[in-house]
Amino acid sequence: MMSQASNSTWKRDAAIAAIILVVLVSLPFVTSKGIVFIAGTLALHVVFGLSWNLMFGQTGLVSFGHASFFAIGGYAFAWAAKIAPGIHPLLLFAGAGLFGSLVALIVGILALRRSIGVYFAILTLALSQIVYLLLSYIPALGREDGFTGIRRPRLSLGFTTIDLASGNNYYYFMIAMCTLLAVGLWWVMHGRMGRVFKSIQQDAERAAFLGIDVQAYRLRSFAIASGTTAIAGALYAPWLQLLTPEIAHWTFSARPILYTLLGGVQSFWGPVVGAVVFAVLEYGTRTLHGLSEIIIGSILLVVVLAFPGGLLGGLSRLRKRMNRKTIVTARPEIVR
Amino acid sequence: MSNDFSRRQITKSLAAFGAASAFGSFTRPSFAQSAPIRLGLIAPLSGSQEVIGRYQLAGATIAVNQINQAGGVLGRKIELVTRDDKAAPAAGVAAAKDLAGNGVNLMFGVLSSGVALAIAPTLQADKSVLVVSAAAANELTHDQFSPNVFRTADHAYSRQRALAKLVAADYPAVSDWTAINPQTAIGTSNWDSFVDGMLQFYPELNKKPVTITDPIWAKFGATDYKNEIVQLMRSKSEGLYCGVYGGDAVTMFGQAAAYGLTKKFKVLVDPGSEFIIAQAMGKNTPPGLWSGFHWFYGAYKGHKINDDLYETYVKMAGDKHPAGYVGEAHTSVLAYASAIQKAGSTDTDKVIAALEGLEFDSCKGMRKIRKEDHQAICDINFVQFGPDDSEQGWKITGHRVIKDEGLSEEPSPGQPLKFLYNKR
Repeated sequence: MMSQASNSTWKRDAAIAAIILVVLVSLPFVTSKGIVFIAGTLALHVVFGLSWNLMFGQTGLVSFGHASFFAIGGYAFAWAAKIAPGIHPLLLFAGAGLFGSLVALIVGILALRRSIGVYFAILTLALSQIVYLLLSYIPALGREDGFTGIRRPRLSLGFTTIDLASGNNYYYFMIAMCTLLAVGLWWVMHGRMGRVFKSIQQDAERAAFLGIDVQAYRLRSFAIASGTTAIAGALYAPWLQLLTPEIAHWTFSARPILYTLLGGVQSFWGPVVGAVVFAVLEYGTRTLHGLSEIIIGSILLVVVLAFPGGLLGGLSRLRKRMNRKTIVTARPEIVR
Repeated sequence: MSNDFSRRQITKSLAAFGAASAFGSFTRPSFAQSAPIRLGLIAPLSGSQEVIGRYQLAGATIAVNQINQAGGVLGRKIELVTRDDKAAPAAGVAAAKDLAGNGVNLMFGVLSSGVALAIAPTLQADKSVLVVSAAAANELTHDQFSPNVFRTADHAYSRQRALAKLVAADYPAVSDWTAINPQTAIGTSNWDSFVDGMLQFYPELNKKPVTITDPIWAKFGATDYKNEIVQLMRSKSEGLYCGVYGGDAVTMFGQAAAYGLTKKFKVLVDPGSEFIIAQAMGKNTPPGLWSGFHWFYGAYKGHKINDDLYETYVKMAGDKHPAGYVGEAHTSVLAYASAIQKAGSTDTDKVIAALEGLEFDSCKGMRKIRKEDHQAICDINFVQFGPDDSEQGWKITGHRVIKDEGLSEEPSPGQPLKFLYNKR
């Protein structure tokens, strides 16, 4: 029964992912450069949102400073690519991710020992502000003005070399990398580790009673989420070709929270839906200078108030209600 | 005195211009020949920098209206397409990509150097041109040079060296200078350029050496400057270069008044806050403060472009003190109009070729865009402020136009800026 359920989830999610991929891959052929740029940035934001929800929706960890790992990954990649241009870019991306995870491990060992809930949220917020201040003070990282001149690398694959600076190559590379990261997160959430995370989220004490090392698993969740976010940040550096400390700011940390609340916490696809809706709203209101934020804010407020479980939560409730009605109307016939 | 001008007034002007374009379309012989030339303005039209973005929008709108009333360019009207960069690099790139994707290949504006540096590397692939109207970072015409970027405004190096030339000539008795600077690249770059100018011009003009005392570095966006002010109060220097600009300068001077800082120094200079300090400080405006301007309308009275721009702006906005950003956005549109006329086309490569070496008239007289590094050589303006008993609380006590004769560096696109005299 269990394997049947996960089998159907796997098939459904693979079908949704395939449709999204087809849309993303075909975008450069059918639409303008502006929309392609937004779609590329959106792919990174989707990974950002998914990794945050691995902590929140899956493990019950609330981070208010997740952007610090996005910035750590981005700056680590940009700095390493500048001082050691000979290193293979894939190693640099992986290195940025590992560095993000390492920072999360160090912070997590200290922070997760005692603080959970709002205390952990405030600690991560403090971490992000420290990262923000450090970035704006370090001359080698460009201080307030940002890290400039980040080049899109050439990707040597042994049999061929792809120049990621040419045409839409970097866009496709980013889509491929974000797909890998999203698949990785899906696999973690739907595997044994994900179920352990879920048990901790539902009742940490009961999980500990069952012999689960709650502290170690929380740390694992934090490190995986931070590592994937750091890789997304590293991918962002050559995409924009410039990094500013703003990507470590708490306002940027609010983005994945917003995506998750908007799309839905309980579903894997919640942050994806949230990020897409947010991007569509931003694009749709881009010419309404000064009114854009007011319109987006009002729509988000209405959605969050009307659908406490996010858009997907609302849809799921609607479907359940309709199913119930069908059963109720169907019953008299059965009796007859 | 209100500094606000109604957004509705600008919208009205844009609507009138749009209606005129629409009316024009009925009389066109064919669409291809007379479709409007679309110019994309990228400016902070919302957020904390919107106050400056609206100046850019006003200047651009006035220039487009004036050109269209005079018959347009190549017999075609100009249409202004606006995009908000929120003074954020990512939003700036998205705006530039959006414009390019919608067939608007000629862009201008951009206030923040960070936004300009983010957009610059994307332009070649998108076959677009950006004419920078304000962002002053030296890197744009040096290390981060892009063949698709031009700057019709003055840049940090020429502006700060001009300021040094002004004080070296006007205040020969003040030979010891220090500064309070923000810890930003532009803060460092401005100060290094000013020191470079002082080390050249002071000995040249006064036949004696100048002393530069180490500056005090403050956090960008700081809210408390008391420690820095106390350090400055202990300084033996007589001239103070106040490198903190805009809102930071207002905060700093607001706190400095209580310590008597503005009375301690014989000369106070500011790299480019324009009217911001005086308008915020009112009767507490530091007496004798020199401030750098992109364009000061009062310096070019009698020059038709200047006078028309000033009068139209005052009529449109109800504000008698247009910031220099109005003039610079106006200038970028004029540069495009001249270049398109010269090229006979709006094709990116042809417009780039026409902009290179272009000489054109603007609100502050003739400008020439250097072919090598795409930097315009133009006048640099300074205004001196002081407190006043009027309702406004401040007044302009003087102004100066410094010609760029030996102020700008030799062009070296792709190379970092090398200081001539400041070897630190």
